[in-house]
Amino acid sequence: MNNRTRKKIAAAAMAAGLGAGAMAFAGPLGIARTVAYGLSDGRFSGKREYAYYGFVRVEALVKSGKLADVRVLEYPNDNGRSHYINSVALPYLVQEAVDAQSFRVDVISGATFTSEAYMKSLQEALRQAGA
Amino acid sequence: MGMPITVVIPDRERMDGPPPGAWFPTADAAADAVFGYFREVDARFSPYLPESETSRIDRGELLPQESSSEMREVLRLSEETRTLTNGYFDVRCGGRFDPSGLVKGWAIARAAKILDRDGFISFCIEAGGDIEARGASDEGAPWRIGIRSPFDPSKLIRSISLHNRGVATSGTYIRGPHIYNPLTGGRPQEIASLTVIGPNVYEADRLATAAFAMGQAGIQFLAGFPDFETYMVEWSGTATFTPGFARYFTS
Repeated sequence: MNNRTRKKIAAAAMAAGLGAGAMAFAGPLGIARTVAYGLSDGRFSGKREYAYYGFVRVEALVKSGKLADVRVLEYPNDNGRSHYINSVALPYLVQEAVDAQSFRVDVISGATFTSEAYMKSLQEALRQAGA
Repeated sequence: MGMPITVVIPDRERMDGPPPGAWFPTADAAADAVFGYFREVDARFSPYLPESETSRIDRGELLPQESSSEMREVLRLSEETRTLTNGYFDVRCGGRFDPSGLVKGWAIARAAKILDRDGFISFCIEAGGDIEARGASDEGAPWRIGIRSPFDPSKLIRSISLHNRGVATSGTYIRGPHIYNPLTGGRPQEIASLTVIGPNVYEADRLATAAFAMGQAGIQFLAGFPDFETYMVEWSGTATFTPGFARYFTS
């Protein structure tokens, strides 16, 4: 890369690993941060969080003061609203099998959406556990 | 969950010729202005910050008509998007207010305007996986953008080449449990991710969000929009795409 090219990556809070009992959370643009240690043992349900196409709700299992497992209690399901879709002529579409490949790329497009609702629900569950 | 923001500005003089005036900022200063703008957007719109306008509107402490002009614009665009998507995109649902689904693409598009104003022709801005790609990369070629695998976030499944377009991906890297709709006895969630290329990142983002909500019908909904191409990945491992999407594949 040319040395006058400017490439900046803002500091990103990333999940530090569920099993380690430490989590990082961030707002839509990655600023807020919470780290959870020394939790009370038990099962804690998070709030239902809206993910635009339904709700996400998780339950945290805390063992020996650490986050041991996360169970998804509720997950978006689109079927209930399908009848709102305008009837359109079925377009011509192409199919292929998905396969992981190596590419040299400048930047990556990927989803963050439901995972944000998941993290918000989990954050609430951990707050109840005393994080 | 984090949201890294990437701003790439290739060497302007080499890419786009000398700046038309001495007052143009350096790439460093322009990138700093973009990050400053994203921090302002976060402070105003984050549902995670208790004093943001979003949180105050959600708690009923701030009336939408008394909010900032930026918030009022987001509210107006949210309403327009709700209508455009037959109600699939809605910032008010379940008694909560959260415009995050529109703000990301909107903020990237506004940040691109900052660089436009500063005279930059070639740049790429990415926030949370949504991208505005202008001009050319520092190799003088279209921007090469990887599409992340929903099965393994460390892997890519496709690469696309973009020039003056936006791209957004909606989806999840958490496979949902097999919840069946009790009313219809219907199938579980099958869509893993939905990638939309559009004329800019704002349009791509809002339509990707709404179309993902529609499940398998989303790609058909988007096929009705000229100037948009869609790539849908199902948990089965099959990808379905509009024929025009193949034009963007990096060979």
